[in-house]
Amino acid sequence: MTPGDRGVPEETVKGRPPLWNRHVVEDIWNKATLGRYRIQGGATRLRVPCFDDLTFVPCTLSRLPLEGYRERCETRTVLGNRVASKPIVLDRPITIAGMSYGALSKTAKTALGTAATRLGISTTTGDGGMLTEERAASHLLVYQVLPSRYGFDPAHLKMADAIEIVIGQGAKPGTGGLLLGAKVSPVIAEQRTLPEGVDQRSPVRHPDFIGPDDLQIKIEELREATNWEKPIYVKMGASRVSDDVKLAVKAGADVIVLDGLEGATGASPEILLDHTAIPTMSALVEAVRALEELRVLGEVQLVISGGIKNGADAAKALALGADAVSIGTAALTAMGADAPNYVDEFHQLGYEPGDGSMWHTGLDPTGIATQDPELEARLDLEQAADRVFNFIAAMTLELQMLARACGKADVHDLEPEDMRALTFEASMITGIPLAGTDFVLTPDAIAARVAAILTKGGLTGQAER
Amino acid sequence: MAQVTTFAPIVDCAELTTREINQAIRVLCDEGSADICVTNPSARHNLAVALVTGSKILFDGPVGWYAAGMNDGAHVVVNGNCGWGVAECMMSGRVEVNGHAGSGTAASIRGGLVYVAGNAGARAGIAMKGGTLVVGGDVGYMSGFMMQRGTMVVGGDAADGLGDSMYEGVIYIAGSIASLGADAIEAPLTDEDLATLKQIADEFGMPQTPDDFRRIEAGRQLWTFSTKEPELWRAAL
Repeated sequence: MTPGDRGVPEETVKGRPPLWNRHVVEDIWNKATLGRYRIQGGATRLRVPCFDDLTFVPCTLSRLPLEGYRERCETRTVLGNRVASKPIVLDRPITIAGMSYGALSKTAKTALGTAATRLGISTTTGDGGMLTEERAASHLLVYQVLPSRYGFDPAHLKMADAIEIVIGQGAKPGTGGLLLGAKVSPVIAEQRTLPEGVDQRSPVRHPDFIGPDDLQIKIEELREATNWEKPIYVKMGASRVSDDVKLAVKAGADVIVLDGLEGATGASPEILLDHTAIPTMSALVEAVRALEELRVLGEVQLVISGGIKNGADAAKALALGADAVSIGTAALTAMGADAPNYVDEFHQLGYEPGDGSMWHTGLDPTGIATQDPELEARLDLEQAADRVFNFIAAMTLELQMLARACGKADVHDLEPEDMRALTFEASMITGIPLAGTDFVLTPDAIAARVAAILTKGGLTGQAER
Repeated sequence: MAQVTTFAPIVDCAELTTREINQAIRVLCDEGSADICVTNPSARHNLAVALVTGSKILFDGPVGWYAAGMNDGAHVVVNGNCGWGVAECMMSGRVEVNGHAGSGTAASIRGGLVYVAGNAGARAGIAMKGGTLVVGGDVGYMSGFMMQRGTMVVGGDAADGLGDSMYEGVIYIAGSIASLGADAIEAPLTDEDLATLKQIADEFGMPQTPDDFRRIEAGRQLWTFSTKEPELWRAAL
């Protein structure tokens, strides 16, 4: 029997239109059930221009490399030495990003601090304040001052090694944090002064300042409160980067922490993950340009985050002008997040191991992004710390290897000239020539080429006609 | 109006930087001075911040932003007006403003008491996590926004959005309310409320009687995501 025999027109067009693919249809069905936006953990699913669109062009005959496995390559990094009497000195240009006790279990937070201490790097608190165990485990701990001020304690501020004023994050710039009720356990509720089990939606604006002029006063207050000892970081989601960086510098920031579109979070409206912020690489380029315009590049340090996943990303970020990178998802993944050890439980939650998007449920089978004591007990602190240590140690070796191949005895000496772009987009964004050409496809460069052609008269006649 | 003893050591701000003023105050606190008088503050920002002391500090004149911010234990008196964020994030102690206060008064305090004799600006008591804020006069827009715990007492009127998105805590107000914020509701006064209000009115010489006040608290409809109140969520989200 043919379709025509059943009354179905033979000319029926088959196949789903790309616009209405399976994910789009599922998204609509989901919202039709929920009556609100979807919420998920992790980062955007979109492919955006990123550091993978750049490649290094190491030394050959025209440049002299360092011995990749032997010669010294410095990684020491100093942050916040402009005003503070006690700047942060890192053994390597990598920091662990702010992630809250609440989004993460106590064991996970403590493991991050333990690993960071062994690595000579810093870790960062998060919404909800400072965890006693985290402070004890962390040699260098950055204390976040967030809009919610959940768990904020001036005594903890004084115990910190640096202060990070959070204006926003790359996963959801312009919107506050989110912690669904499953994670607001009795302990978390008490720490944040919230009712137990409430869906906590953090404010996005600080309660006591609004704009950059206010921020300047706030920064002075924090310096006064801590005897002008501690560097003040200002963390922002990558939005109007050039203006934002300039305003933060004017307000007195010692360190700019810039979190790009690829930055992850414990929970967010999905629509914000995919449709807000600019990519990390783009943000970095804009920020460096802004610091150059203010003539403070190197004086005000720049830490970049959002999707940093290996030593190559770190090397490319440093080559573009970052002083350090900050990692979150990579550290959690190293610890065992999304590992395929509990496949059935992932399936019960409706996810596959590796989806990286079930952190908002509070039921993370790996014990990392949960407040469930039984799940948390699965995470062995020492093993978790070892894995994070190993990953960041490996990441550092990758970074050094690339720097040595480019002939650099200090990872901070990497520069744009060490790279070529693999895509038109990356070339236009970074100003780095497209591989195989000497083209620099920035708008200014294109304008200059057109001007050069016109000067030679090549297009003059046409233009006149 | 609160006073300090005439024998109190004096910090004259006229020729000092903010850094020097705060250092002088801290040295006197550490030396055990019970009373400290600070003259010519001239609305300078960030004075007496993050003190951990039982001393009493009198500012003889107006102060700027974040006066007594992050206070933990000090009794700070301002004989004049003050700027934004007075006593913000206070843990304990007492801050009295014998004048008007700017926006964000007592923002996110976790303990202690803040008293403003005059009016307070927008977002008074925003994100309070404990403690008590008493405002003799009016409070501005969105006061009590996202209040989590604690008590706010307003002798005068409130502008729009009072108590918007409160989690917990209670607001007592004697005057008019331009509008309540999302999920803020009026509830009957209890005997305990009346006793609290009498104590506060007596302590600060407020002209109101406990019966003059209304009690505002969280409706708790925004505590969890729900599709049952779409209009409330549309406004709140």
